[in-house]
Amino acid sequence: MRTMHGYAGSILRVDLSTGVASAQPLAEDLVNAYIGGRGFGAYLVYREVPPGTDPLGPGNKLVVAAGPFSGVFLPSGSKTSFSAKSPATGLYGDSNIGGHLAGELKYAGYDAVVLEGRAPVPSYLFIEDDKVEVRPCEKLWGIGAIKTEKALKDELGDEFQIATIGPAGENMVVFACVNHDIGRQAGRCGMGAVMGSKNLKAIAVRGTKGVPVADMSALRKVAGEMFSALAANPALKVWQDQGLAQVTTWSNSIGALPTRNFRQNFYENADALSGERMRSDIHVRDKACFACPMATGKYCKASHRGESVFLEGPEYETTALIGSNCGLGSIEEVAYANYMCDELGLDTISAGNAVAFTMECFERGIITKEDTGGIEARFGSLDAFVEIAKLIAARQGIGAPLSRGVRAAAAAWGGGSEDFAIQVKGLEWSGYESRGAPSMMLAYMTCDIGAHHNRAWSVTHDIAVGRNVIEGKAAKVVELQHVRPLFDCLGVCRLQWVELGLPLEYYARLYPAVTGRDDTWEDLLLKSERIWNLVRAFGVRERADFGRADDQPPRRFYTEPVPDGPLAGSRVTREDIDRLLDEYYDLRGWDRDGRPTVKTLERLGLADVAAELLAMGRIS
Amino acid sequence: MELDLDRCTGCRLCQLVCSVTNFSENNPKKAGIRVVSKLFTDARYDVIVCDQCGTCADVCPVGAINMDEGVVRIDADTCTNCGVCIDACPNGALFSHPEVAHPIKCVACGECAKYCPRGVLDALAGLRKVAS
Amino acid sequence: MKVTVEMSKVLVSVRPGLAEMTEVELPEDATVGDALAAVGLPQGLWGIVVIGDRVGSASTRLFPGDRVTVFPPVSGG
Repeated sequence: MRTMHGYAGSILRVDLSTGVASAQPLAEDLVNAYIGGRGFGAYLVYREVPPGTDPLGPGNKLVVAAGPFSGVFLPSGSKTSFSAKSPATGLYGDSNIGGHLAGELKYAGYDAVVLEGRAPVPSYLFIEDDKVEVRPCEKLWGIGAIKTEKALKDELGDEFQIATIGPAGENMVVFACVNHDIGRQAGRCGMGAVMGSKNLKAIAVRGTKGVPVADMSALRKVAGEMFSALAANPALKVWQDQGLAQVTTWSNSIGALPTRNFRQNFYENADALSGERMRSDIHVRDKACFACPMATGKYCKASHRGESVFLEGPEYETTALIGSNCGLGSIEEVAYANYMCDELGLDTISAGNAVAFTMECFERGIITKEDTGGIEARFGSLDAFVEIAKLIAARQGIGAPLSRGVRAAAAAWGGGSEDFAIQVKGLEWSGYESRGAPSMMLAYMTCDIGAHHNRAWSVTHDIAVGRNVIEGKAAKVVELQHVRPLFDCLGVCRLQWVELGLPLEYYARLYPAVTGRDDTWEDLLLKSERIWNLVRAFGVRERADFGRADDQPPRRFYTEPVPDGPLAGSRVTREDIDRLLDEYYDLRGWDRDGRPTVKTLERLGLADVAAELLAMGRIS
Repeated sequence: MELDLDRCTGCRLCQLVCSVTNFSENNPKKAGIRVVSKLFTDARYDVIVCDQCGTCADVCPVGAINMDEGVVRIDADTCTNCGVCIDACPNGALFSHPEVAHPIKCVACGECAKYCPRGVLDALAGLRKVAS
Repeated sequence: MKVTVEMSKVLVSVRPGLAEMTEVELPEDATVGDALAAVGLPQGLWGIVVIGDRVGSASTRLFPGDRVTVFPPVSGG
């Protein structure tokens, strides 16, 4: 088999129903068209999960994929993508995770693992180089995600990299996450629920092989320059100090911090949730993903009602969605709630959003203490957060409707709550309230997996160009939607570029050194655009009515101006929303209903997808 | 030898650098250094690496291990891969690898120390004694 | 007192037109926020500030001869 530089050269398919695993050669066409990581996930899920498949049934496939930069000598080649049809949205979903898993998959000999079917009993997937086993583990079922990792580390050894689900995933809560390395998650889109639906409690992997690269000398030169540049960067220390927790104060100062279920965007107690307070009050140790100098992980200790817990976090998103969004009073309270979510295996973004939604419904009288089983679900109550999170994980009481996501809960509770279920496509909105930032509003509306910020992050674009400007902003969103997810295909973290300003040229030079392929950065961006359109096509194929109606923000954002804070009075209008979308679709080569045109799909090498959608009458 | 372990973040770049430098490979298990997570028990990381104490040299039954200017080295040609040294090492700092016919240990090249983002390993570079 | 405000290369690359290095005259008890206002850098367009090798914030007090290096706002995951 010819060596594929940058790749292990193999995809491991595991039929959990039978326990049969087979390693298949990685196809050159797949690498050439889709790069790796999220690209592999998007392609395989599109091809192998037909419309109408139950996301929580055995027909769904979970693709766990590293990229060509994973595990290789360069800064932070640490990212794994989890892809599947999402139980939260019914569309393609993916989530990436840091830590130390990506490289280990490749050291074991696999660029991706495709999980199919459903194990007959609770099991974990054991991978050690060529040895692959689906091992029953009934004793671990019901155990927290972090405790499960510890149990498997104790049994197998510290060199195993382990991804786990908690009770929330076992019970198939649609926003259940996958946990790894204590405090890293594949958080969004319910990837933990997909694992739970397959009776898969954990994945444990250890590998002893090396990753072949095309030009070791060039790699050492480029990577050496990158590490030197990072070491010399005066801002590095801030990241080593506070990680992403430093964003909280900044976000509040510019009126973007979600507060009390996104009703407000400036939190009067934000100082109590700051990165400085994290560092001074609860921080124990800095914790890094593989080969990363930034070490944005913060291992902390928090106490509540006499119980002390250790966790990795909280970072910005958790602080925003659980802290200010639920009105909590201190970073230590946020940390304790963070720990609870991690052990239960709940995405902190969706959980924080869902609990805040519950608190607003309770304070408005849409739900009562009878509905909550006696819980005083008010903003500011950590106890309420903890109780509701536990019920969500168990899918009991008030947790039952919430476990299907805020969109479903609002449909169940009514009372006008649909207006302030803060989600798009069924995925709960993450950490940037955007009534004063139209390009970020558009970013959230058009993010392919639902309301997440990790594709286009354009808040500063609005500040720089003018918050009231609508025209011309779609271009920035499209540009970012190509470049940022490219890192998820390469299997490397983007924060060294995004936050520390490490020039993109380095990554462009890394690509030929690692893979021996002559793609330019523009070539890679085109592949990212291809993936973007393939993911859009998944939705078009899935539902005849998929399109513009799925790219809408919650009604709160265009009917309720920001009530207070530095951006008091801000909102987008319906006209703004339509102008933003029209400009966006035009730029993307989609029709005004948000569907890719045949011409666009063909330009991107997706003629077969175009033919498929044409035959279904979904596009013209 | 005092490593500044309190500063270790568990990034394992040292393992990767060692592999790249000494084996020209991207393979953190082909390395003379290991980072072990003790987060669950002690909220810290351990670094396992040779301090050139020479215990392995004393126990090697075929005399394949010798001190050379402060650095204990294994002669690959003489070594029979019997593994006695691995068991004897008080630090657990001799590592076996399926593709390598002798135990792997740190030879104080100092490259890991150059790349460690937290300066944990500076003491390692000082172990190599330059002949005067 | 005289204080130097230096825009990081990254900041200059995303905000062309900013002077890379400016010396400003400030009152004795001025803060980082005062210095950045003096060079006309709008709130929200700067994120991290380093004074010498200390990390600061808008309210950090400055001393004569301090060199304030400014980085773009943090971006989040």
